[in-house]
Amino acid sequence: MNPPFPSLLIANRGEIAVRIARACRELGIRSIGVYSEADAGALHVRTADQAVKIGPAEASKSYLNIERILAAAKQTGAMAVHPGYGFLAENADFAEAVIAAGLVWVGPPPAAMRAMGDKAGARALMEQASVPVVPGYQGKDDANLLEKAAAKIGFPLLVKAAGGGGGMGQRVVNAAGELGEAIESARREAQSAFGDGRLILEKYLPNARHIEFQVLGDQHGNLLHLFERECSLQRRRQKIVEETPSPLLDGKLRTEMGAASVAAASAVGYTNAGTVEFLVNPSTREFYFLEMNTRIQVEHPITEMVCGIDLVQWQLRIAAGEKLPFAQKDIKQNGHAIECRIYAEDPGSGFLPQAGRVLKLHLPQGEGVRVDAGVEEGSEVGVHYDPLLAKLIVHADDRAAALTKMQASLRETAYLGLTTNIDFLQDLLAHPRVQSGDYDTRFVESNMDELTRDDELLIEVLLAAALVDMQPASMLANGDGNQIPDPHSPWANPNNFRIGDN
Amino acid sequence: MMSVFAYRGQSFAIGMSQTGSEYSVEVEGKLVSGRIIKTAQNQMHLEIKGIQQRVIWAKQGRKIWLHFDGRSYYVEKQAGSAVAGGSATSGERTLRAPMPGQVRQVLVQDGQVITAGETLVLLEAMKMEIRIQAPRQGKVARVAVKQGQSVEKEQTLVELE
Repeated sequence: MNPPFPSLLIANRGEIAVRIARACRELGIRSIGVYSEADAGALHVRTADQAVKIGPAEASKSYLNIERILAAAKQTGAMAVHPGYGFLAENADFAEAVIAAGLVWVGPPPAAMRAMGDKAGARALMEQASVPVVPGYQGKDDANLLEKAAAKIGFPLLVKAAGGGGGMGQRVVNAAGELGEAIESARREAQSAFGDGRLILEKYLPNARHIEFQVLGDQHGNLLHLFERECSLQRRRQKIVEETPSPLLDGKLRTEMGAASVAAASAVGYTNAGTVEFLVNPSTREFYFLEMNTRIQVEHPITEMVCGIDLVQWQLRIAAGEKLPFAQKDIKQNGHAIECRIYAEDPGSGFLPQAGRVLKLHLPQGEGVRVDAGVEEGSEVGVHYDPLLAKLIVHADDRAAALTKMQASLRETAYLGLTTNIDFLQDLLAHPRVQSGDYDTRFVESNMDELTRDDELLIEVLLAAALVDMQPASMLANGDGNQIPDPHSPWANPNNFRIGDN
Repeated sequence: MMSVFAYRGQSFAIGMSQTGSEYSVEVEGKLVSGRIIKTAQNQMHLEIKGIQQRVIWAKQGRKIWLHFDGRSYYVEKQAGSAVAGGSATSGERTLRAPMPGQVRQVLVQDGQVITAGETLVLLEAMKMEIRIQAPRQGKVARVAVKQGQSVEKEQTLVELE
């Protein structure tokens, strides 16, 4: 197979840049990375065939700097640009600038990005396309009209920014008396976050589940979905664990939502990979369009594992004009996949992001175990960017087997030198409600105390700590245990032999 | 040898002793013994009560990270806690208090012959009992404190010959 294009610039960092570089390698494309001064030694720089420094650590001057990224593409002769997720991935101006520079944009048409980026406009479009939306109001943004609409929707309701997502400019309003203040503060936040203070109202569904559908469309009119991802395990609207299939959906609801996701994408002329997010009321089994993410998603690997389709490779091939060789009926869900996001953060102190060096890394291995990592042993994790260290993904025949495999894999995962959420993830997966699949978007926050209890320090751990403390300094530097400095040291036991020495 | 490790804001004073290849730690009256069976880079196999346990570790100054039985732990060795000043066989003569406290009991006298790991003085600090143990066999040259006495951190408790 000829590569879709000879070279591609990856306008991102971390694990997704590493992931895209892998897809390039598999397709015979020369990959070009970009990096900020803080990332000079980062894994994603070494993984790409070439990499260009684009600016200082601040994202606004590097990974968000359109001019510098396009200059890097020109300098290296890149023929295409993949934006990854985050940073400029949903910036239609960037997509247009890439296209205007004569490069291939690996993503949807900029017009589709704009249509879905505007929450108020997207709601109206979805209503026209008969895709159910959460009952709400996206009309003229006037205090009086908002108040009337709120009374009609009923409480609790959500005040949301029309011009952006991610929970910024979002308020839960429990009663009419709180509305005025919520509108004011949401408007201030939306204005400063998105430069757009317009607001919409939505009915708040406190026990809803967050279930999204992966869509994929080529430039020849073929548009299909690759089933759902269950993303209800969240903390502050940040997904923590995702799985597919969803424990909630049955065949009927899955078919309905799949059709709605294709209708939603089709309404904006979507091509390439995208995700349609829905809220589902588990008691009534009604579903509502929430928003569409016009990019590759962090949690895309679980879909890849269950559907057996490499989404990033297809993003590149679709962008180059290839036709999808499969139809909706060819897409099957095979087994069950789970992803856990491993962050450098401290669950014991409010999930504060942690900085430091990965002194020792231990990763799980085995059939159906995948690690999409952004850092390696020796990597410095800084304060400038998202503290995502890696995504741990497992695939097994069914949900019970996948849960067991994920729990065993988490036990085998250690990022020593940093505080991580790995033990928290273990406790989360062990919870009876996660085991049974009966959880909603508020589950993590309402069970936080139970999920963040400190481990008791075992006396055996103190023994190990004391022994490590006695470790001769010479062994620390190079791991060479062959010197015999002190016959009484536990590290100089003559019966000792090193693992891997035989 | 006495050491104090901090974990999640709590301090754990441990006494460590050695018998052959077997190392024992005593913490708050609980005792556990084990020996290192194998080592690899940043790994050791520890045998405790006949069960081998893989420990993955990292160390940076006083900071120690351990991966033990599927969980990760971060402990920090407290400053000045190496009572006998390092290895148990370094021939140290002075045993000092690892932290401020009170002498609960003095178990030896001047001139007494002692064995490695034998408890010489019991301290009470932060509502914990800290056993000051002999780092090696030998003879007590001088006991420098009395029962009930308050001691400062690093204050000399016992001198060995």
